[in-house]
Amino acid sequence: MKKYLRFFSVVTKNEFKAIRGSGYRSIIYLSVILYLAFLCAGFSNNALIYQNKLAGNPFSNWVNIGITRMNRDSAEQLIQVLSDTVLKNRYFIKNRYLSKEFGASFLDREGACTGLPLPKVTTIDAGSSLVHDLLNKNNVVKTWVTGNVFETEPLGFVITEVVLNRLGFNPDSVTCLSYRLFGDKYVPVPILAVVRELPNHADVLCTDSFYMLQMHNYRDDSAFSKLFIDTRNVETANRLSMVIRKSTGLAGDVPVYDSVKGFGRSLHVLYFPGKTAEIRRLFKNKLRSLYALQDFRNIHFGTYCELETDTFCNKTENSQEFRHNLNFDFLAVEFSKLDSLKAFSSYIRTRYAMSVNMETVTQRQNYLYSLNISLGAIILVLTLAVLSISIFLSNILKNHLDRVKRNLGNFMAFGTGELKITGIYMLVVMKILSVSTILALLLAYVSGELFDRYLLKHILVLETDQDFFSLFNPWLVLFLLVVYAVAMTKTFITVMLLVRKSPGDLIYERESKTY
Amino acid sequence: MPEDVFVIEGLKCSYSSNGKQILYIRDLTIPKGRMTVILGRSGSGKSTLLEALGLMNNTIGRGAVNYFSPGGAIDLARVWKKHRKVAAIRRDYFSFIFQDDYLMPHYTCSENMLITGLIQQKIPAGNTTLMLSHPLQFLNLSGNGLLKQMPGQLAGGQKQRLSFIRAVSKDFDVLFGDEPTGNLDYTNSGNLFDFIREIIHERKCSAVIVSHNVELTVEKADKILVLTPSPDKTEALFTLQPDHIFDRNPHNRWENFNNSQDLTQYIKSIL
Repeated sequence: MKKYLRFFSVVTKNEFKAIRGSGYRSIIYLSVILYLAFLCAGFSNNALIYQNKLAGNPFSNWVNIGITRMNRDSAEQLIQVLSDTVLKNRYFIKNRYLSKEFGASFLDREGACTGLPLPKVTTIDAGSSLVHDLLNKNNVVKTWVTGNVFETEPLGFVITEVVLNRLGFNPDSVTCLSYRLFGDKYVPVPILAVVRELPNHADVLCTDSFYMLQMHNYRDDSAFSKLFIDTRNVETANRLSMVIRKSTGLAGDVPVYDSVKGFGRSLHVLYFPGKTAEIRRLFKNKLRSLYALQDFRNIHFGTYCELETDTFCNKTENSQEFRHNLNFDFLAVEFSKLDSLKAFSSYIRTRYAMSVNMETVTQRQNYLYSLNISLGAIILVLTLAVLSISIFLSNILKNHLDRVKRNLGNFMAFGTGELKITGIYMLVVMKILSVSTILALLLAYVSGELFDRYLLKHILVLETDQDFFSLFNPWLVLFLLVVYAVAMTKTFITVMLLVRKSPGDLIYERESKTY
Repeated sequence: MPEDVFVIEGLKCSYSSNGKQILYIRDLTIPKGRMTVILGRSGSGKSTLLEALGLMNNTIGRGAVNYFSPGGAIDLARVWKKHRKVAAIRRDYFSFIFQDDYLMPHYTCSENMLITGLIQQKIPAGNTTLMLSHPLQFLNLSGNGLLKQMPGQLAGGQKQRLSFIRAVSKDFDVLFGDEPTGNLDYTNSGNLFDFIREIIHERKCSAVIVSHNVELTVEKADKILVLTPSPDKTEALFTLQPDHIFDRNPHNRWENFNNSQDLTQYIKSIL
């Protein structure tokens, strides 16, 4: 194929060489500015996402009103009043419920009872919209139930990943926990969901029903030793029972497993009447290590009770009485908007002599403030970067045009159109900007990822599940669009202002109006 | 087919920046296929006239300037209203040589010389050396790998000659020169004028040159225009009086003068 020389390509090539500077100086300077801007955009974007996550925490949209012996009567009145639609609309109240806080003990993976500090359990109204909020995809780690977890299984737990790890369990391999009722008596409780965070800095969330049930409604006299296997597979339970039979010399006609009553899933409990000592020894010495790596690896040995759900159901027919006896610790009020919160606080202080715990709201407001500051800072930094790039490009272009304006006048005298010259310089600036952008993107990607993975997560040990850097984000796209638009516009104006002069004025360097 | 390339009537030239009437020409014709040289003292409007004719600047204040291009007559006073047309006329019909070389310092000599041709059309990459060999040889620039050198590596005279080759690397109808010999010695100036004559002869085109060198002008030009101060200053500061237009006759002699020396003396006396 015949190769041709073209004015456009010859001039573009040479002008690119001249403007990029010796040793690619201009490209290096520009790359450095872009690199810093990309890093800023990459880190800022994730910082904003993180802050947004904190500020948008669904659990921080409410206030707690403490209930004590002194204000219990006022609290009861307030609960009645808060169901009034006018009041709810005035203060943007979305929901309210009574809550109880208590410490709980569990058997850990080694079969030992958890020590202090005890995990904090908070009760929640099973129908609360907060239950739905806390199972949003950003908060949930693992769940086995769809829909409203507590409506499916009111006698289960929602637990934080931190506490589960503290107990030695992995969210993927545990479906229930041994909850201590009293002394060394336990009850297996299903885990409905594992989450990152719970309201009120709680570790475990349960329903009012569970709280009430575990208080008194268990069969104390029939407590017996059980080996509790955390598996849904009946075959697994059978297999284990065979091993135990063999090891302990248990007679074949003695039943060894049963399903725990009152739970919506198959939690297999092997119980061994009269063989408690042997089983305990077997469990301690052999069983745990023997089956540790198999699918029924969470084996707990303890003296278990059964919750009296039947009795409880009869009693809950008069649930108001039950609830009254609970002595709730606080009234949680959820808001759809926090705009009238101060007015609400003032209202209940004057009318009911009760004070609002603003901790969560203040935290949210702080996050929002910090979010706004960060957002402003990012916009400022990126705007400065756009300005720097624009000024830098404009300067190198103006300096170059100043050097060659007589030569450009010469080109024009020979018949080059002003739009052609402008187009050439726009292409040159675009090329310089593109090369710099690619270079800066590569550098920013490598250094940003290294910074994120090694410095922040391994040396400074910040949250490991949080990405602090992501280069390709909307800020980057917006920034590049603005940079390119500004650079192109500025180049167009700068070159057009020059080439609108007549060739004679350019060649003889006369100051004149454009023709 | 008109014999003249430019016909001027009642032309007043000025610069838009100060509005002063610099030059007034009542009647003038520039002949086709010949070399016309404009003489005059500094500031007499030589370059102004050249810029007006070459569409380098809109200096035409009043009057009519008609250019008879190969494509038809063009009124240069009116054409300025259409920028694209002005650029197209310059591209298709005109070429320029200046006192300074105006070579792009970051282009190779080869690219600098070919750039005017490239403005008009694409050029096969393999033909460039062949295209440039004749003018380079004529102007004593061949050899030493000059084509790949940068202008900064050349002497001033060499650059000037390169700029001349650049001017003739394109197709044109009229060649304008604004003191092209200003930076050349007498011998090279003579060579340049000879080369212009050869180009005119070969391409059947015309040349309008501004010069300060009276001897060389009288020796090489076909028509000489001497701009002098206007006697009454009413129309403009300078003018072209009818008796300051000199034509070489078909016998290669200057009309009304016995020899070149007489004309040289006369021109020097009126400048």
